[in-house]
Amino acid sequence: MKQTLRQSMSWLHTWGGLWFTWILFAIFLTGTLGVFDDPISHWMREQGKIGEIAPSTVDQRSRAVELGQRHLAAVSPRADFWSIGLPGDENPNIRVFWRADEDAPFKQAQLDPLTGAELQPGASRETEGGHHFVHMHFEFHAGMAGIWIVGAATMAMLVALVSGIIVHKKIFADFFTFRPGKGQRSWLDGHNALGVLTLPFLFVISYTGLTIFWATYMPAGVLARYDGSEDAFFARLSEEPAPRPLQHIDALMPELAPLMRRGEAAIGREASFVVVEHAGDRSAAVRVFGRFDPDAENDRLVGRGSGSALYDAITLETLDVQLPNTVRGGSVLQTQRTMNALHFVRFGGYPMKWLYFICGMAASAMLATGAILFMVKRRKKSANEFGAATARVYRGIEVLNVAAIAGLILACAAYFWINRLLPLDVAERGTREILLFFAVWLASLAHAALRPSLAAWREQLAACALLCLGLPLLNLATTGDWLVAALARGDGETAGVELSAIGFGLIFLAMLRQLRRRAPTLTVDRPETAKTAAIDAIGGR
Amino acid sequence: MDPHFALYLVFFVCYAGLLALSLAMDRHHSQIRHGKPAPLLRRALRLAGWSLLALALWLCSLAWGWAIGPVAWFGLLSTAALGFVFLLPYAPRFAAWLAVVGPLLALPPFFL
Repeated sequence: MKQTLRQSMSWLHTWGGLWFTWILFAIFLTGTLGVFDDPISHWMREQGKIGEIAPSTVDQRSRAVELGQRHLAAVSPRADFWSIGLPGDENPNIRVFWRADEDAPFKQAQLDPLTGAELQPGASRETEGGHHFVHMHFEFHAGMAGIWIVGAATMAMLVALVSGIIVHKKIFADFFTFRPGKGQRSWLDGHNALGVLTLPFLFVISYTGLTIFWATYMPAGVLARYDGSEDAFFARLSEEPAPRPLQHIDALMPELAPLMRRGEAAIGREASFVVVEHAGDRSAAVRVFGRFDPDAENDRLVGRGSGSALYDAITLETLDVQLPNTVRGGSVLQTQRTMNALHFVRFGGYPMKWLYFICGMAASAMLATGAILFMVKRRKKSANEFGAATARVYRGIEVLNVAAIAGLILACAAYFWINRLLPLDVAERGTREILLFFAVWLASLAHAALRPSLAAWREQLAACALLCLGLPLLNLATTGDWLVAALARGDGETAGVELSAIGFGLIFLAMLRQLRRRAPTLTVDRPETAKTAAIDAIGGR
Repeated sequence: MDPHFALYLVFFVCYAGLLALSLAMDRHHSQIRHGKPAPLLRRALRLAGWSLLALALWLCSLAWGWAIGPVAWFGLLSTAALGFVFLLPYAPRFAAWLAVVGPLLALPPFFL
């Protein structure tokens, strides 16, 4: 059968789009929420209540490093990795992380900044906070497998963008066109407008998303030239000392606090982390990281580093100093870093973050309308693509649509509730929160599979609206902190989270109203037609 | 220029530019006013539209510099277009007036 280019592209856009749209919606929605990972963490950890944390002095930081080192030396004297996170705006405690050897899992603890005593679970609201959304966004909490899934979906996104542009018949004539209340026509208009109007964002975010993991997605060069050692490759590329292999000779670790002070002097910034590689071994090295300064050189796209200094832990010799806001690795790496910066919105502060957030939400809506449009089109007239199984496949797609769109939104909203409702003293609280997030998502899938489509959409959207609108009340009930208090103390992060939740809640209410108005009342005598009409009305009529 | 003020101002410059460009099209002209635009008016609207978008780019460069300015411009163009396109069918006249009302609302802070 001979097809025109537009017909074959249309096929590609429809099917290539459909099978990836559920994954892509999850990537876009969580990535968009991840733009505000810090404010979300701030809300989840109740940092608004702590108030302003006074800047720390050199002595306080030295003391924190001492306490951290004492703890690490006690729990894991010989370790592949130690890290001491110094108290700062985001956490007033000392955080220590360690890993006994390369294959062992990371462990962590929080210490009291004055006494160094380990804080027991329940002392604070332990949570992954907004990082959960970021990890969902690029790996679904599935490590390397997740990174590859996200990569494949992103390639599909780029294919769908190009094929979508070819399929779109009148990009310029329809540029400003949205005709509501016309069923399938409106869904197509909406899908087109959302896609076309955010096209620069869509291309940039998808392409830069892929180039972040270029070394993972295209490893052949590194594998061939550097014996498969990415570390060696990057050390060479960024003119850093080569990674030092373990020597398996015990060595006494020096005091880290003086090294921290040397590091601070070398890079001209406060330290934020002190990291030791191969602790207790002759090959041990200490790296002091500077604190990120969000206001320094905010008008630059690339190279906004915090600086770091690297020392031989045994000889105390300086191995490397990288000053803040410098880039190494030549123009290729600079180009790649520029793309990273574009992807992570590491510039321009809140105004830029909001623009990314709005465009990201529009992109998520574009994906959702595309998936819904697929079914709206086929509810009207089955295309019979799957022969006898068509009805069953359609039902499956419908269920996945509900669970992947409304269900994921519900799970994200529920994550905020879980954070407030899960008791403080459960073990592995942060992980537990994420497991419960997935449990809610799975429950939404079960619910979608058990209920008729229209009811499933309506009930899940109603639940989303309820969770979003109730969030400020929940916060008031569980922590005693609330929106007005947050606004009064100028805590824009807490207030922003709750005001956004209210905004989203109102949007879901409007959707529900739309659903109800469009859905004709179910009549008793002809339930079947009324039902199909009602289901059809999800697309509006 | 303060970036928050720039965000507000450039949004409405983009909005006005897009409004002018849409008024140059028959379909949207009849939505907001009546009938089709006269050829001369059409040309003037196109010129005004593209000039406003160019002005917006220049304002972005003033507020954010040339490294980030264009990124801000694309973002504001997208958000202004989304606002306009999804407001237009529901309240066409208000959508048009917003191009005037919006910037005026930015004035009070200057007199406080």
